[in-house]
Formats: sequence, structure tokens, C-alpha cells
Amino acid sequence: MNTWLIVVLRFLAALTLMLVNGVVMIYMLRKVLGRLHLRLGPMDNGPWGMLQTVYDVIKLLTKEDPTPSAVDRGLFFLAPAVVFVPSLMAYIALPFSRTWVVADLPLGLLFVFAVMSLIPLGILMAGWASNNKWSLIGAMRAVGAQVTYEVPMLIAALPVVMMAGSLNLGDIVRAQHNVWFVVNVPAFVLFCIAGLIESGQTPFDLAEAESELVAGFATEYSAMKFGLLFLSEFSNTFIFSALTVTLFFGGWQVPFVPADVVQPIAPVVFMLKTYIGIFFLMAIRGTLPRVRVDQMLELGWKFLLPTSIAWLLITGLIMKIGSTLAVSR
Amino acid sequence: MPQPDLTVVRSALERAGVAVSIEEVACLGVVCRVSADSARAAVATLRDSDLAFDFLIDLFGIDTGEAIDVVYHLRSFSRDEEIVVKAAHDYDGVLASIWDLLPAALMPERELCELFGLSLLGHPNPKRLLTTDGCAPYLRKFVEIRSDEEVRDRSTQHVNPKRLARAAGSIAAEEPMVAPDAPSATQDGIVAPGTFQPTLLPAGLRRAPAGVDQVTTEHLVLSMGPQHPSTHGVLRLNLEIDGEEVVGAEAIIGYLHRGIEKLAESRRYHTIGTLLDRGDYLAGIHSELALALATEKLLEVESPRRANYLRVMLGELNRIASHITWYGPAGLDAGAMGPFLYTFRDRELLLDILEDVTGARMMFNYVRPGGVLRDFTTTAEAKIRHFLDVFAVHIEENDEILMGNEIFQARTQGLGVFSREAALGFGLTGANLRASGVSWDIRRDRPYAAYNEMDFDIPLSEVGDVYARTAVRLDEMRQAARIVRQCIDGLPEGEFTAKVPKVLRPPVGEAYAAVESPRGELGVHIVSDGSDTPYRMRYRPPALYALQAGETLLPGGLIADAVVLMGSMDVVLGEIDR
Repeated sequence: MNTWLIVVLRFLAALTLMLVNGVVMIYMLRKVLGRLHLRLGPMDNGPWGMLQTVYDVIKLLTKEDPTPSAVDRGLFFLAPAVVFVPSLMAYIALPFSRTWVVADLPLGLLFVFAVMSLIPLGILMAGWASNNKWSLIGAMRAVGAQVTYEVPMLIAALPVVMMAGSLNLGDIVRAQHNVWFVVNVPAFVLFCIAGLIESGQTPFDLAEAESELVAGFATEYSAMKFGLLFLSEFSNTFIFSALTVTLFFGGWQVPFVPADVVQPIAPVVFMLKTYIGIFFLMAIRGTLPRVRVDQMLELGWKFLLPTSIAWLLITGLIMKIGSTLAVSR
Repeated sequence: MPQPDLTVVRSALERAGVAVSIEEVACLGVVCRVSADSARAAVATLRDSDLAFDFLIDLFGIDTGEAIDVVYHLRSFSRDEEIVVKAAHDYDGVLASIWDLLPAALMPERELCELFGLSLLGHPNPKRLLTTDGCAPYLRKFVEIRSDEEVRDRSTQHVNPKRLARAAGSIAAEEPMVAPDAPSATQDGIVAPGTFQPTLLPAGLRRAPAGVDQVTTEHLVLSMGPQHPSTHGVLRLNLEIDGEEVVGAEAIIGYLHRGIEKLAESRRYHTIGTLLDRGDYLAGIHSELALALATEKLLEVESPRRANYLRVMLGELNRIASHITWYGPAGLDAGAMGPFLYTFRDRELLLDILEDVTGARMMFNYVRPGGVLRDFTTTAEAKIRHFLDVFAVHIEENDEILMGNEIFQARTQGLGVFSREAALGFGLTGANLRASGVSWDIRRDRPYAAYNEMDFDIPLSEVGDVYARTAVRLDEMRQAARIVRQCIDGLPEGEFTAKVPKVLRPPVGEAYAAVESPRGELGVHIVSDGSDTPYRMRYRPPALYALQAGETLLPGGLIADAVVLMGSMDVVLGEIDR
């Protein structure tokens, strides 16, 4: 087959996955939050309200899209795309199975971090272009969180890279066929905290803190421009969960089952694990209050950064000692 | 209520050079009449002398037909005494502010001056509070209430000339209420307008000095509200922010102002309750009860024991409903969605009970002078017992889900601390006051209805921060459930209302009655001229005092703190704006 055609098809597959994920996750969020809050969630449209999100997407696509007169029009239109595209690009490197990956990048982990770090740029554009004080404050918070947590998150993932000996996400998964890297508990915890903030999840959803900033950087957006901002937020949640599964929970593999047996259902296993992670994120969202912005920054600079660096050193030492002992024996 | 010693009051005031005539008014207590010029000195003397009247219960005006009586209602917690100071002001007179003596007067003075057309001297922020520029001083007697026909007739709609002029650009937007020829506030102890530098406040600004790193920064004025998700109604906070940090704050109210006090002057006593229900719409029973108690004092009617029990029972159920409607949003302010929906389990049950007994879910008009409107229903008893059983479990769950959360603790502990002195100075009452270590509860210290037969504790905290206020309110809910159980177990047989005439005509006189509403001391001060409508009805809004106190603690915190802090004061805008 034509190489270009394959590239385009793979890209379309990633796009479709992202859109379908968004719809499913919004439905799931409503149901999970509903159950947590002693409610039912949507029930009317379709069986158990399953069509509710579909209707919402149709509504978002067809409704009027007013542009406030005071906005910076160019940036205002560009910003949702700048937020959306990086989170689509991050899908490219995710390995759904041994063969199901859009692009098997040798530096996959770095690629994901690199494209995800573009998102706050789009948020800042949205906040600035909206010409609204709430939007601006929300955007500044998002950038502040990004600057604080980009580094600890990467450093928290490095012990895994050391254990796997590769930055390729597929290799990292294959390195876990005996034991999942979640045994490195501190790295896992540090990665989770940093990732929660990175993906703007409660208790760190400061960029669009509803009770403080109305809707943060998305205040002035409506219709599908809002839809794109919203979709990329859900997509970030998915990527964060998928990354956690890849780095710490063996990706598509099932423990004690040979890889050949799992191979036919590998993508299902991967998605299942990812959605379990998403469920935990939603449960946190329905339960916890929000931290204050200074508390979040303090947590980042004073705790997470030093601890993640220290744990990187300790992991290195342990591995060195382990390999020395293995050699000497 | 213990009365202050007349001779001591007289000698203290005369030593300070204040000419005073003292009388004892039935249903009200000791009333000191002083001249307009010496009112400030009288309040200062009463505060600083051994009498220690250091708590302003209320400040309001009465148009007597010859002058405006400015009423200072003071309390001494240390001696447990109350006193009323009245100063007759001319119609175009000047009110000397007492905010530096008792900061609780800050907003009531503004309100008084705009509604009676007085000028305000020495006030840091002498702007209108409730109404727009050019609105008539409608609590004066010459302003007539329009009839229904006049209201409906659009051709006679009141057009505000100043508004038209402002739209044309010829009038400054905010016109202070200071008379143009008033002396420029050089009186001893009074600061000039616009220089609000409260000494009581611990608002240490932590702003970076200007020009750090050669970067010039600008402050941003952020108008939070009246359409904002977490301003609890239609409060507007004008925040001046430096980055995320609040460096200046002003609460702007009046969006829900309906003139309840004026409307009450055209209504018979039975029907005023409907107005008060729409004041504090979360705890209607309590404001109705305050009105009923004040009217009964004037009428010298005793409500039957069964009515008293019903008043207490429904009042406490209403208290739980109100506190729980506050507790959920307190979590929501901090970003926790769960507690909000968890509290609504109990609120549904409570409103069902209240609907069963009173016929309405929020706007009851159930407590009437002489008793209550309807007898207790048989279906309600089972509902209440079911609720009490369920609530005992739910309250512990609610407690854990929010109070036990470390993020919530980190957000609220040490935030918005009121010392004992500050709380008293700002006229805080209710849970806000008890969280600052003042053990004062009208239910225990001035028992009304059947509270002297009830066994309950007063939750207290010495800390005075947001977390303490939350904890105190939670405990109050447990105590309220205890009282409800005692009421339902010991509900006496008998009449549910005393024999009162269909049209009430209380004798000439004045009465003040206060109840412990969920928000604090809710007082109704009635002046009767013997007719079937009150000559003047004053509604003491506890949330107004809480609001002005909360406003002063906003600078120094972050935007997120502002939301949590104002929420913790339990402001209900229906009551503040009246």
C-alpha cells in the first residue's frame, strides 16, 4: 500500500479515537459523578441516557457561535486549535498493542511531554485574546501550573526510563512483561500528582475554577470552539491515564499470561486499564475540594521537584548496587 | 432583661457633658434622649465608661413627624445590659459617624442617611448603599407608597431625573451623601472621607514594593458579581487585585432591595410575615417569630404552650435546613462538589416536613402574633422522627466528607480570623460570634418561645477562622436536632393560638424582640401608633453586619480566599438588601 495513505489512515484513526473517547468520557463522567453524588446522571435520551452526549455534541456543532466584540479575533479563533492539536498529536506515540501504534517513535515519551507542553500556550492565547479578566487569570494560572509541574513530571518518569533502558513507549511496555514498574511506588505517586496538575484535574483544576473564575480561560467561548477546549481537556485526561498505564501498569500486557495469547485483545486490555485510571480520576473529581493557587505552587517547588530529583538519584543508586551485586555473584 | 442603673447612666453621661433625659419605656427598656450634636459623645461615653456598652445591636432611624430619631441600640456583654440612645436630627441634618467607635455602624449609617435624606459626616465611604442616586428618602413619612393602580399605570412611572442626567453625562457616577457645605471632617477622632484606615483590622497587605526588578505592575479591578457562581445571590464584590492577591475590596449591595421596611408600614400585622419570609428566605420561621414576639409584647398577649413548642420545633428544623444549605455551598466555594449534593438529601426531607406543617416549602407566613397559623399534623410526626434518625447518620457523613478533608482544612484554617474584640466591634452575632469565643445565644440568654424548657448546648470555638465557623455551625445542627427531638417527645396538648382579634391594633408604644436565627440576632423593632399598621418597623439583618465584617478581611488574601471567606460569613442577600 501507499505509505502516505497508511500515514493518513493512521492519523484518521487517532483522530476518531480521540473524538469517540471524548464522547464516551463525558457520558462516563456524568454517570460516575452522578453515582458519587447520589444522583442518576442523564437518564432520558436513549437507554440510561447514553445518547445524551451525542445530542450535546450535535447541539455544540449547530448552535450559534457569537464572538464578543472586544476579543482579539485572530488569536481568539486560533486558540482552540492550538489547544486541540497537541493533545491529538500526543495520541500518535501511544502504543495500544505491539503493532497498534500510529508512529513508533524512538523518543516516544519525550515526544508526548513535548507536545503536551504546547497546550498552555493555547490556553494563554485563549485567555489573553478573550479580553476578559477571569479568562486572563485562569490562563495565567494554567501557565503557572505548567511551569511548575512540567519538570517534576518528567523527572518522576525518568526512573521508569532507567529501569526500561529506553524512551520508546513500546520498549517500556515490553520491559514490564515480568513485573510492572508500579513496584517503584514513589515514582508512581510523584508522577500521578504531577500528572493530575498537568491535566488540570481536581483538586488542581485551578485554570477553570468554577467557584472562583466563572469558567476560567473558556469564559468567553461558546459552541464548537468551546467544544474543542472541552474535548482537549478530556483528551488530556485520557493521555495522562494512558501514559500512567504504559509507564507503570504494563501497557497492553496481562501479568502471568504470555504475550502471544494477549496479542489479539491487547488494545482492549490497554483501553480497559486506561479507563480504570480515568475512573479514579473522576472519583477524585467528585470528592475533593480544590487547593489554592499558592498551595499548588508550594507543593510543586518545595516538595515535588526536590523529592522527584532525590528519588531519581535513589533509584539510580539501587540499580547500580543491584547490577554490581549481580555481576560480583 | 436586666436594666442598667439609671443613676449610673445619667451621672456617666453628665460627667461627659452630655445633656440627657432618661426614661424607661415598656417593652423596650431604658431610653436616653440626647441632642443630635451630642449623640456621638453619648455613644463614646457609654462605650468607654464602666457601663461598657461596646456592642452595637442596631442603628436606624424613625421619622417622628417633627424630626428624625436616630436610634442607637447598644448592648454590654460584660454586664448583660441593653440601652437605647435616641437623638433627634433635623430633616436636613448631618449624622456624625460613629464607625471609629463601633465599626458595626459602617453600613447601617449609610443606609440610614440615604433612606432618611441625612448627610453623613466623617464616614470613610459615604456612598449610597441600597438605592440608586436620586431615589427619594422613602422612609420619610412624606413619601407615599404607590397604590397598586399607580404601579400598574405605566404613564406615571417614576423617572429618576438624576439618572437621565447621568445618562446624558452631566453628573458624576457616584455622588457621596456629604452635604456640600459640611465641615471637612476635622472633628476630633473622625477621619476625612475617602481615607478608610481601620485600626481594628489585621489586614496586613503583603504586596511587593513597586518597581521590583524594574517591572511596573498595575492593579486590576475585578467586579465579582452580581452574576458570579459563588456570591450567594446577588452580592457584588469590587476587588482590586495585584495578580491573584486582593489589595482592596468593597461589597456592593442593593440588587435585591425591595423596601420591606417601608412596605410593612402599609400592612396589617398578620401580613407582614410574608414580607419577612422573602427577607431571609432560608429561615422564614425565625423572622416571622421575631415579628410575632415584638407584636405580642405590645399587645401583652401570651402565646399558648403548644404554639411555643411548635415555634421552637419548626424554628429548629428551619435552622437545620438553613445551615445545611450553607454547609453544602461552603464546600462548593472551596471546589468540592460532593458535599453540596449530599446535604440536599436532608434538605428535601426538611422541606417536606415544613410543607406538611405550614403549607409552604420556604415562604411560610406560619408564625402569627398570638400563636401559629395551623395545628401540628399527624403525618408530620412520623416524618420528623424518620428525619431525625436519618440525619443522625447523615450529619456524621457530611462532617467527614468536608471537615475531615485535608485540602479543605488547609484552605480554611487560619483564614478570616476574627478576634473576640473585632467580632464584637463589627456587631457579629450567631455562629460567627460564637466561633470567635463569645458565648452568647439569645435562645439561652434571652429565652423566648419554649427555649427555657429545652436542654441544649451552645457550640463554641476560640479560634475565629473559617474552619471554626464551619465547625460551630455543624455542631449547631446536631444541637438543633436534639431540640427537635425534645419538642416532638414533649409536645403539649392545647390550643395552637391565643385568642387575638382579627385586626390587631397594638397600643401606642415601642417594642424590640430578637430571635436567634441561623444567621444570628434577628431583631424586629416595632413602633406602633395604635393603628392597624405599624408606624415604623425595623428589621435588624444579622447578615448585613456579617457582610461588612467579612468585607474588611478580604484584602491580603487571594481571590480564592475571598470566595471562601465571604461564604463562611453566611450572607443571605435577601436579608441584607431587604
